[in-house]
Amino acid sequence: MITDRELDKLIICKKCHKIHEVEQLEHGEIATCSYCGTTLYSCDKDSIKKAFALSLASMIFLILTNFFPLVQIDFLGSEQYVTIFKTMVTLSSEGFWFVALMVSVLIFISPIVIVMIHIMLFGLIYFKREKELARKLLIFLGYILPWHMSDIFLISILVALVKLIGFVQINIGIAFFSLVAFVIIDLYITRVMPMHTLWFNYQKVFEDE
Amino acid sequence: MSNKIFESKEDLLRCPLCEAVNYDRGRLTKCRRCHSSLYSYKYFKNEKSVAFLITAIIAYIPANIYPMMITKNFGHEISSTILGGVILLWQQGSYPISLIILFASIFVPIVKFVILLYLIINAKYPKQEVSNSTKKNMYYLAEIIGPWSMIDVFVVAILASLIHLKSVEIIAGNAATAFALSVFFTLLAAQSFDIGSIEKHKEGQGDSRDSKTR
Ligand SMILES: [Zn+2]
Ligand SMILES: [Zn+2]
Repeated sequence: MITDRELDKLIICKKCHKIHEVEQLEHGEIATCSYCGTTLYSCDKDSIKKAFALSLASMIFLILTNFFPLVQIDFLGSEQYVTIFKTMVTLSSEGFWFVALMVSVLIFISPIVIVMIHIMLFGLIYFKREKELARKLLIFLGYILPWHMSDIFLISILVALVKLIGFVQINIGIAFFSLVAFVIIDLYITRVMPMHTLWFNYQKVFEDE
Repeated sequence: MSNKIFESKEDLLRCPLCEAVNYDRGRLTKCRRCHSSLYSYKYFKNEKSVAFLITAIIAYIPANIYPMMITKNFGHEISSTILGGVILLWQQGSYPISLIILFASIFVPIVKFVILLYLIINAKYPKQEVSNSTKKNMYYLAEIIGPWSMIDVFVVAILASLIHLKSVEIIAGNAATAFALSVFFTLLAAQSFDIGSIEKHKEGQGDSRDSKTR
């Protein structure tokens, strides 16, 4: 029999499902799957502190993204702009309530919830507080992560803009640039703090006394 | 650093939610870390996944028949389906955009349907002409490309709320709802599919290359 403690030292590759034993790494080192090359885990001693600071920064960019126009167009003297909120309102007012609901979950609700969970989680782990709450947040994060598509939405804006080039005059708004910043920071956080690393940090802080 | 593969005599499962390594206790078990349900390949039947996938495939039919986007240009109305939009963009010379929409709205959903359908059928009626690690790679591919299918819906949402001018107006078509439903149920089908069921027949049915690394 393998004990739970020993099981915690194992990691299964998300791509090829081969089992690996977690080894002690040097600061800055990255462990990859020897079968398929996927990144398994990495070692960064200040990762929680960095992730905490970055998640606070991403919150600011997310607020800017949600409150300012993404794009503004000018066509024969009449102006129009689009915000994340306006896409949802337009869809639901035209009767596409399911699309509106799905879009609002994917690009509005999930990003906000994920950023708030990140901030609380990194804070709780950093200050070693509220073990039970941290556990619940981690579990909830696992459920909500697949329902987050800010990055795909960013690509969609670019596609929409390319479609409009030549027909209208396009002005890129503040929200567009803050969305770019948000997506980059978010990708970085999920890269250095995948689920496995988050739980690893949780156990190191709350369970290994 | 390349990590050595761990040789285990026991059957171990990866929790899809928290990535903890768990014992395969043979029946419906709870993850020791996050307490979410882990299904063992011995008892799991991908019924939920089948139901979600069939719903997604059915929704994909009207998504291709009805118009995705309607353009009103000086009272002149043009409605285009997904495929119609792709062809129109190609004719206008926007080759990259045409290819992105073709990939996102037609290639990605169909590849996801085929992969999930194949894996579910294969878990039920196993044939070993494809190795387990290839099947796991197929599932991983379906997971990775999945979100891309939302691009066209987002584009329509953006254009519909942006182009509301006196002379030109863009409104979403009924295909948008059908397509969003299809994406929604495909996501649910992929999430409820049990990756463990791929390994169902590792015992006694060959495929020793894979079962060695248990
Ligand atoms: Zn691997
Ligand atoms: Zn778990």
